[in-house]
Amino acid sequence: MVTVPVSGNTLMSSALPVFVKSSLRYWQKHRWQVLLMLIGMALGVAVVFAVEIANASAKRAFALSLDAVTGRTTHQIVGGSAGVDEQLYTHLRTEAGFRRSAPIVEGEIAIGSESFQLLGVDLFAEPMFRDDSTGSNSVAGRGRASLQLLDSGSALLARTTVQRLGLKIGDHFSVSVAGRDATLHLIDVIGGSRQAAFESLIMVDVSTAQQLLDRNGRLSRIDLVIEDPSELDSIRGLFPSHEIIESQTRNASLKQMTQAFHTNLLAMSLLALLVGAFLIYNTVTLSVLQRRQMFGALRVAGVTRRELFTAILLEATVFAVVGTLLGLLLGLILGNSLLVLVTRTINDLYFTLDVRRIDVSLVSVAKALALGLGAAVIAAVAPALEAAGSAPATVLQRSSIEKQARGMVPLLALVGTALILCGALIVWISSSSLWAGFAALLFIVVGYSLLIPKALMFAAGLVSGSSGWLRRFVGPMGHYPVRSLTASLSRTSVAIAALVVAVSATAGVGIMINSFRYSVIDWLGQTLTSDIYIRAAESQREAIPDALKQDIAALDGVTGLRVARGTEIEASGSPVRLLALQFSGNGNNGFSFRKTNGQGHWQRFRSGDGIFVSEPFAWKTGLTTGDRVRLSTDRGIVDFTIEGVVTDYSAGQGLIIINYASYQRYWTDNAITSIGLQLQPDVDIERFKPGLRDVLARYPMEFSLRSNREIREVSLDIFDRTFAITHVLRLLTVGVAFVGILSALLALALERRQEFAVLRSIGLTPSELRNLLFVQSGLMGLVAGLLSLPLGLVMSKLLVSIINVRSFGWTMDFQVPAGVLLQTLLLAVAAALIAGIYPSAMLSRLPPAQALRNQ
Amino acid sequence: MSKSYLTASGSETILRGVSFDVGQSERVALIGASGCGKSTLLNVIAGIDTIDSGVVTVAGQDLTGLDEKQRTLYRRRHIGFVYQSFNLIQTLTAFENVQLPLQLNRFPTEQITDLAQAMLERVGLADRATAFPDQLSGGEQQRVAIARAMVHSPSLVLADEHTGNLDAETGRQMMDLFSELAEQCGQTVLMVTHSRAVADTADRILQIVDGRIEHGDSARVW
Repeated sequence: MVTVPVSGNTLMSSALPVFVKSSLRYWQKHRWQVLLMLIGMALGVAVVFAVEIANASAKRAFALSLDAVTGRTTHQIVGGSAGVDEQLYTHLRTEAGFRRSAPIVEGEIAIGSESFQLLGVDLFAEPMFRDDSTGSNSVAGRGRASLQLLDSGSALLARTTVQRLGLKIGDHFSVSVAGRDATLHLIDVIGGSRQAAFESLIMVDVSTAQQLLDRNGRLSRIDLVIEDPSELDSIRGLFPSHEIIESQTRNASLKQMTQAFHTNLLAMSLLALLVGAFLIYNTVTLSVLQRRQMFGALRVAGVTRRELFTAILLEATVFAVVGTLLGLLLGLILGNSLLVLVTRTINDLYFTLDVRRIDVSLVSVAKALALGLGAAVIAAVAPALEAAGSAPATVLQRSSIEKQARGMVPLLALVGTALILCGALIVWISSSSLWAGFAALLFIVVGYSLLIPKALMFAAGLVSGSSGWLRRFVGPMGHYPVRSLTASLSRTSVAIAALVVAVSATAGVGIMINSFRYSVIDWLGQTLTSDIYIRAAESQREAIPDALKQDIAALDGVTGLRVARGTEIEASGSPVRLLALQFSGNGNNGFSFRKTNGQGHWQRFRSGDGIFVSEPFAWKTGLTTGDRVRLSTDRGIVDFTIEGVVTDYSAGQGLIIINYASYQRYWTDNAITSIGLQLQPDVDIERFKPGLRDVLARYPMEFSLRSNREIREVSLDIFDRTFAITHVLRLLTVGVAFVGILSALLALALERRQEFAVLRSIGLTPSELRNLLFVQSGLMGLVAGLLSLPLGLVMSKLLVSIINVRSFGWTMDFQVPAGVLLQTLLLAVAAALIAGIYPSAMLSRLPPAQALRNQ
Repeated sequence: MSKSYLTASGSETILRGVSFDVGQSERVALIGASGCGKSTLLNVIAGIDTIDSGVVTVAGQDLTGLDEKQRTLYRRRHIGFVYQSFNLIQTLTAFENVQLPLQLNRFPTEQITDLAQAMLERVGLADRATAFPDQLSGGEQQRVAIARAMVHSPSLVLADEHTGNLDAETGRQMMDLFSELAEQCGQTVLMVTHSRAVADTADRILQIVDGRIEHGDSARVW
């Protein structure tokens, strides 16, 4: 009796070595294909990994710094814009006997071009709060050395910061605070395992911080360690006019501030990975197509579908591992550059953060690995199924996969339409979730790319189908490039889809940035109602003397003055910008209202208890007109009514606007941070400035002088800087798509080598063949460009009306400039044409005899 | 003429001083064992391949002095090529495949349509004009290939085992069609074949042995 082994495992073990040997030889012959696939995969993973580590590094640095500053603090006593009177601290410690308290004075400080957070602490209260604040030089440990901190101008820096800046203990170094220069004395360094947490801090004594920040007698806050809830009640009794907030709640809301920004970057990086996945799908499909004879032979020889599927998937996994590892290395390099941009944007939009070192955690590596491998394996599943799913005879047929691909077109179109509808439904159902917004975007992008084969066939039908009117005017050679696109639908449609996703993302983000920029320009035009602005450092508690205001008003050409006080306060558990403005006359005074609290909102605003809030503030707090906001003023906690929600793009953390007279009533602060000068229309601003400078020079205060035009320019510079990282990510995504289209064109060209040889043999010259291939590349680009326009418009609408609002609370006018649309079209065509140069040149040089001999 | 190829094991001479003349409207069959250089000879005459030494003159034109582009233009005008594996452009219909040489030779648009239509009628495929190659049988594909090779009235039609992929009956029909068309158009034909039946339709048979033309009794190759 003869037993025939039928187990799949037995066959697998015998088929696999053959498969591996054959695959190795195949890939050796197609090195360029491997190279392009690895580049595409590596680029996709690199973008995701770079964004991930840049985000994680920024977040971690901020969290470390925040946690280091918070220490064991459970609660914080905060005051109004002027902070807390230091007498209250003395009262708390001495008369009330609450010793678990520490005074803090914080502010921004710079060493050269690097920004740091200045932290003024009480050396004696510190050990109870922050073990590491004096690190290896803790009070208990170093005694005398640390006592030097009490000396005016003494400072501590993290050891790594000291090394980076090339300082040594005992050095004096220059700092800049609110435009004023000062010198600090480095008395020691903060070392130890947690020194990273102090890298963006300069630690000084409370009194030094007060001097530097010009806040004599004032504290930013008082830190508390509350062990018993009853203690909290008694402290509240002692400080009825101050807000006592829970530290963890405040930290959480601070960390949350940048979350939307990080999420947006992550989403953009995932787009690059999606494009990379298209590329992997294309390459694996191609490799399957090119080896159909081998697979057919294996199937005829008895290799099962499952074995073939597993083998192809294993092969893709090997490439995915290599591509992903390369991507991680590339991402590490890219991450360093992105970190600079991420940090700069956070500084521009939110708070001072200086992150120098990229922080690669195992979690970040695991995420990138999982995404890279996952995307590659998922992308390889379809072609592997295609090859394994065919009967042995059809695997051998050249056109079987193309026929299958064509057969799949209606189904893909149906699924695509369903996904788009799902996306629309998600937008419609969800009202505030950012993730829902991104999910909708993903559904629409993926759904749209599934419609591309159908659109491609429709477009080709228009041009060269029997009913196409163009057919009458174009001969067979004219049809050739069009027909080639649809004849190799399984590859061309994926390459075009990759390009469409990348280019439409570029268009979508471009339109969004353009709309945003237009809205900012419009807003600046409305808001900047004065011709020249004089600014004083915000930390100044000194009021701009009335005499100065009178002197300025007396200058020739001045028609009016408008004073303002800008400061930072706590509202709803997180820092918010407060702007007290002096209003004159009627009208909206430069405000663009998104919502008002019915008739009389201006009167209520002027009367004292009404405030205006910015859109981001309203969005983040969930408050709207008519709602009340509790603010901690110098006269105690006061509830203000929101009389209007206004457009504002200046403060990412949110803005509260109050009438200047009301501000003076509730806050014991007469300081002015800016004066707006309105000039007669015929006054030449540049000629007016010297006279104004002379007047300012008579007063012993620091001022900066900027014209309306200069402020607009600076604002737009900051705006453009903020979006620098977005531009980089857009370029990288297009880069991945470029590799994809190059890979597809090379593959198509090589696969049709014999056909081209036939064309050459019947009289097509090398230059004619080159042109033919070039036209085909351009056509792919044109189709991709045209198909990118609708998706780009939908993406931009989603970004402007959904993602931006849900991320930052900003609404903006939707502007679609023809230039961006034209750029989109040109980008797609240019990318395809550039990608087509090499394949067309290579094929036109190929001797036809060689290709014909290889038949 | 002589022709060698560089291979992994060194230089391999394919044609060794081959010399022959073919008269206008003459039909010549090239026979010989596999790898003896028959297809190379056709490629050289078509200007697809070049020779190392010697002279090739077709329709009064010396090919050896032509560069790549000139050889292509020569081929476009003077040569029609029929292959064993048909080599139709898969993305073009039968009608469009036949139109190709006319298009490349810049015939007027109306003439392109008329000539291609007439040629398809002559090969019996007028009703299959809109079919793509993969919708045609082997015999039909070869008819299209013959129509494409002859539609622009080239001086010389080259056929490389053009019945090799067809069954005996279809091959015979194809040969009859091929001979009939060549005769009607007064075209010179040079065909490579392994089939005695096909070779017998020629006016003259040339045998290649080891890269040389052997003048003598051709029967011994069969």
